[in-house]
Amino acid sequence: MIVRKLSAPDGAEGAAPTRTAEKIVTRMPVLIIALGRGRVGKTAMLNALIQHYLRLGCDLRIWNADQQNETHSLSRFHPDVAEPPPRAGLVDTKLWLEGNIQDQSRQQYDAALDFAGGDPLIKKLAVEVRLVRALERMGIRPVAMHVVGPEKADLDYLRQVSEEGLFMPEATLIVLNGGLVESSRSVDHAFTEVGNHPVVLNAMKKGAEVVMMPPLACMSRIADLGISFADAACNRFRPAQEPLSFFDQERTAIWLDDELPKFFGGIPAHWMPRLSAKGG
Amino acid sequence: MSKRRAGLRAILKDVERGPQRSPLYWWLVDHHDEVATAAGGGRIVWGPLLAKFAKLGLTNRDGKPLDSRIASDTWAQVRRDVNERRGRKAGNQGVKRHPSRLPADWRPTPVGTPALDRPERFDRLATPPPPHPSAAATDGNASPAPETADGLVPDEVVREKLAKLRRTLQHEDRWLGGTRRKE
Repeated sequence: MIVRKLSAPDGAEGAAPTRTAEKIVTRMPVLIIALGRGRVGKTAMLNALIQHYLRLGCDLRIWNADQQNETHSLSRFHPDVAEPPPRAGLVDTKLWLEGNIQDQSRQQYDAALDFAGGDPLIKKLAVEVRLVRALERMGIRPVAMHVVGPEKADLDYLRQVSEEGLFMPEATLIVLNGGLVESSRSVDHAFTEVGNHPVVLNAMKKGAEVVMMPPLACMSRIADLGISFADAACNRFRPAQEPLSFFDQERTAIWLDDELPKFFGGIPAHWMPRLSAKGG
Repeated sequence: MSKRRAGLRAILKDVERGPQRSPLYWWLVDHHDEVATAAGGGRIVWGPLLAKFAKLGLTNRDGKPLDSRIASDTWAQVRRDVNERRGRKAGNQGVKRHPSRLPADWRPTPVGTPALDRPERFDRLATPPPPHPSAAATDGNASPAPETADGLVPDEVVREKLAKLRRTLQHEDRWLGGTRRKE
């Protein structure tokens, strides 16, 4: 069994008992939260993650707090997405999330949470309830998944939550979205500045992992169709839909079959949904 | 065989082979074994065959000329249907439909269209990705990243991770070859 030092509670939680400085690190259900500014591919990244792990048989719930994105919303792709009540404000959404977290803690499943770009809720909760520690006390591992493109401004959200110490769980993942690089450009060159930026290096010093999501040239076309990647690769379209071109079907197949498994294999397994016994 | 018997068989065949299937579909059913043997388990390149199909009067369901995608899809459907029919005849449950190795609790996507073709390669998705080096082999127990006394990751570990990331990015650029553009 592996043990790990935890920082002692700082007393700000009032009645919180003094806990031991050591905690056995066991498998905890994960709450994967997609973070970042708008138009960096948070929903696309989560959608890929969800489809990949559902196909592996994981018990992964989908929470969609992104009420701005309708066309490519997760709710279009998955039938059983939990959403806040219509026209929910910040307070209502916080209550909705709190209820979900309690349910997750009781039932021990994994969950993925999508927000609109730059959504203030996480930062607000980080200040109000020290979200990382609150989740850990509920037996849930928070996974901050910062999705960034090749622009420096894409790091603003990460800078705010990490340098100000707002929301920097042990499981912090920085995803360079390769899909945001024009297909004629060098990905390596496009991400040189972001990949070596002090914000990223500081996060890595604190234990963050940096990975690159492999690009899929026809991602937006598939998102427009509102079908799964597997259906796109296997030539399954709705009756009135114009099928993807043959090349795009092949691109999607390679991405699903080879690139996504490699990509997720590069992320610590305990940060990702738990694989069912049947799935491995 | 009497003329009457032959006429009955022709009618039954017409009943069985309604307009919901294309002429190509039924031709491939009739010649399934020869085509499968000729393909030898490999992928069939349909393009050069299209003109020959046209000469035989084989079209899609609407009577229009074929293209490679339709031919490929039709062949996949034929293979599945023929295998199932033979499985039923052999007294078992028939060939299991793909995705054969997906877990029982796999949730379908909300597309709602019947599965037309699921290449076998996608069964491999049921295999979990290889474990990340920082994950212990035991079920979910985590091996923490090495840390310095101040709780930070050592510089050399960060450098190694950056180098690995760089290799990943460069791998993505492999199509650019030795003259990688730096725009």
